[in-house]
Amino acid sequence: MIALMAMPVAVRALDLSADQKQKLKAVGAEARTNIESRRKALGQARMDLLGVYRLYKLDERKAQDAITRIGSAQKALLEAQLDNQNKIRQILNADQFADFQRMISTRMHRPGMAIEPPFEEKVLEDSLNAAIRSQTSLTPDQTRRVERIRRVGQSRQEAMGSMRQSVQELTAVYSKFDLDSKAARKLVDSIHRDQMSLMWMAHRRQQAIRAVLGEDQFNQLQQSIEQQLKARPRGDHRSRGDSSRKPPQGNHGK
Amino acid sequence: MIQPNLLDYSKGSLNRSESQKIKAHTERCERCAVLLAQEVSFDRTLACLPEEMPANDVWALVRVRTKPRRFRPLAALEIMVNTRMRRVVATTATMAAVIGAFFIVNWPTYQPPVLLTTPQVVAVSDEPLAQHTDAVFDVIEKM
Repeated sequence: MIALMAMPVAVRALDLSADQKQKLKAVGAEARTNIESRRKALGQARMDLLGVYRLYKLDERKAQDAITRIGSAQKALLEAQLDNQNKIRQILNADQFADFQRMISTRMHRPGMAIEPPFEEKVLEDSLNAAIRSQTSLTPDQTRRVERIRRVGQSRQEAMGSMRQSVQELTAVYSKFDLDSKAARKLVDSIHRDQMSLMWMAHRRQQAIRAVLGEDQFNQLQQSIEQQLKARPRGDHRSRGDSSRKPPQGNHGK
Repeated sequence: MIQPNLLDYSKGSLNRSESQKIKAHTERCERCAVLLAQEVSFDRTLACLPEEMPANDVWALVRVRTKPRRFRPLAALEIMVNTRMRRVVATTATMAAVIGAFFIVNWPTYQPPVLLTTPQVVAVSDEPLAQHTDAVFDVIEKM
């Protein structure tokens, strides 16, 4: 009875043996180390890309290198999550997994219901909107062209919608004990395709901005972007907009 | 045989034949008639005296202590429930107390659900499953 009372609630709920608990802890620790390093690499690549986009003269080689690294880190994160899911199923039985899944659900806020682009892209969008509204530094032709650039956001919304759908489906696949690896792999690939498509869209927008704006105008726009980036909330994008939640571990784009 | 029964005769406690016998005798014997009159008079005098109880009546105390109580719950329980049943009840009560204490100690603290404001940013496109991943880590780490 005393031993039972001393056990954490999670262990009792899952009814894990000592061996299972040890294995699960090891898998969790290994996955966390792996994912944290991927997040760090992703954050660094994002910072590098942001540095490239700060300058009026766009260094295509550096930008493409950063985009490739971001893409690799994004894919690696998706792969690490899938790998972790497989390992967990090798340790738990079906009943234990059902309880495990229930615990995960209580810690989530409607998965996949809201996905946003990185903070810097949202800031760029806001700054472009502000530039169009003020119309002080732009010629009518420039305003029209900037408006066209801004509309690229609609294509982005489509990619975001597709990604949201895939994330919901993948979360549903991960919630079942009998993991459909083929379906999971397909969804991982689909999510990553959308991620890459979003990144190239953002890059094309950067090219278009430079084609429309003169260097001074660009620097003015960049100044507004920098101010907003400095004023961003602490923690990364995932906790933005909800100060009541615990800041996540990863620090992309910091 | 006449004189010892005079008091009972005066109270009417004797049977009919004895009473007639004493009545006939006292009509003839002046000495017994006088004695009967004295007995009757003395009895009346005694009847007029107040009834007094001794201050420390030992018997009264003994009676209080030895008088059986009208209702004794434990004794009634012993009569109604057999020993085996009493043991079962006692064991069940003890177990209930232990389980109750266990749940009081380990009762999970209620955490109100986080109210989500709109728009709610759940994930960034760079890692859309981050929340799920962190939840998995959290559950494993708290084991």
